[in-house]
Amino acid sequence: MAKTMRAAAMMGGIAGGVVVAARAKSSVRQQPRPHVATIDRPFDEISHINDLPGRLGELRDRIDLRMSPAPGDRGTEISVRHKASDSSANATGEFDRELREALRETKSLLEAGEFVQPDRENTTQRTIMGLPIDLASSLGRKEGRL
Amino acid sequence: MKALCWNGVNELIVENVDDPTIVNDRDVIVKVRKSSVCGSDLHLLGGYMPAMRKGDVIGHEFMGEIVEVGPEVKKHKVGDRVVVASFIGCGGCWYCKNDLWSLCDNTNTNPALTETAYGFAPGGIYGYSHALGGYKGSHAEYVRVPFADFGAFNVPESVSDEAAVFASDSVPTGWTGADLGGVKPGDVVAVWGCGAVGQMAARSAMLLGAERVIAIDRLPERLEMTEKHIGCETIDYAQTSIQEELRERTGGRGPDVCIEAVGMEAHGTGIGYAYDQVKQQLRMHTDRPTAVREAILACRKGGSVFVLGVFGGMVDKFPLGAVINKGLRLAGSQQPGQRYIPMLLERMAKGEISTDHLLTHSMSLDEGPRGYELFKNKDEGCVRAVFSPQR
Repeated sequence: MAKTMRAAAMMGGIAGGVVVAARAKSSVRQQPRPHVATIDRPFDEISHINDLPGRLGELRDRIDLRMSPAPGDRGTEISVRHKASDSSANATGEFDRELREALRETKSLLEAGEFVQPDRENTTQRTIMGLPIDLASSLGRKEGRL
Repeated sequence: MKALCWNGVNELIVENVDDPTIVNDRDVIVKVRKSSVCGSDLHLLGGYMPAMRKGDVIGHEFMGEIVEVGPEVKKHKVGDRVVVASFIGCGGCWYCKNDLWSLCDNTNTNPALTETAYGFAPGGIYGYSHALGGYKGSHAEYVRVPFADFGAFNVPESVSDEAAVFASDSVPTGWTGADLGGVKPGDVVAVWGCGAVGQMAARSAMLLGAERVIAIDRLPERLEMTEKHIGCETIDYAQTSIQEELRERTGGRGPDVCIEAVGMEAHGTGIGYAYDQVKQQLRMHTDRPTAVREAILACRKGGSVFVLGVFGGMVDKFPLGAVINKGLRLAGSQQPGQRYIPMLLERMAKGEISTDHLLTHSMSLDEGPRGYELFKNKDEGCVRAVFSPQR
């Protein structure tokens, strides 16, 4: 019974990993939508920044980026997508994943002053049942709904 | 250093792991003096929160001494005795600035997992699975604290380590239930659960002016403890009908505010509880909402139900019809500790909130697996086992 319970519990983890992995795969096929976030900094403060902090700044030449004031003084809405002319970015979902992580990084740097990283010391052990979580964690900032 | 690690479903082990290091400039390293078990940890142990990995350090309710500070830390210095909010807030996003710290946009290092499950990601938390950031927990000799200027608070001299540890989570979580549940002077408040969080919710409701507070549980020692140390009424739900008892005690109206402080592994009586148990054990639904259902049915028309217990996924047979047709306000939240902890430490220093009685089992970290066993089974009257990693 205990083994059955453990296996059932692990199925939940596997299901979570599979969902994230499936989304990663399907993002290649979907119509490309922009990645959007709201940064809690006034539009007037950040709209003129040429070199955005973090990797978004580094990717600037390969992306279309738009900013607009968020309603209700909620900061600045930022929308990024790879340029339609960039065929290499269109061909794989990897650039989209990179872009999503870069947007998270820039948002955090502008709002909080740093992009918090996981603990460096890895106490976890690799197990077969843990592989889906490993996979999902490796895509932790690259996937999602941003 | 030594740390208490998740080793599989219902398996904990004390292991030697690497000491934490400063990773970001706003981090500090805390030498843990006290670290408490929490009811929400049981969901990790039982495999109900599936994003755990073998070797993950658990624990999120703690206090200790700062032994190292990052170069951008402004408020703290080495030697500060601090209690740390269990949720990590960056202090700069819209949610943190609006005192919704547990919803921080920038501290969950694995947002994709919860964005997929919930639509948006909550903030990170210590020792609470890779879905909530994958941070190492506090059941260890040392722990890394990101954004320490916002999440770590100096403890007043008059508050002991044993009391202060509960300012990390139990006390602010209880306050969250009463405050965000909308308790007002003159209200009748019912609280499901007489664990540490339920007791603190009851005490918070009293401090916010509730005229009557009624706490509900089935364990005699917890009911007795609540009557003695919190000073409110209690109901043993195993001995009576909760719905009938609450109606009788409130002149037929029902409580104005109902706070559920039980969570996804609720106990109960009757066929409904058996149904929930079978479905959860077969993983046909993830959470048992027994106490939430009771709270919704018991609450007066137009009243407020606040879900303070931790839930992870989906529930079945949810009485949404009662919510709509009784005009209830239904809300829930993880605790935004940074919003409340300074005020709560002051109240603790003044003696308005007492937590000493919650610590029923003081243990070394080596005794961690046994501490969780006692806590899970409620053996020996265990309300909270608290570990001293330096012992």
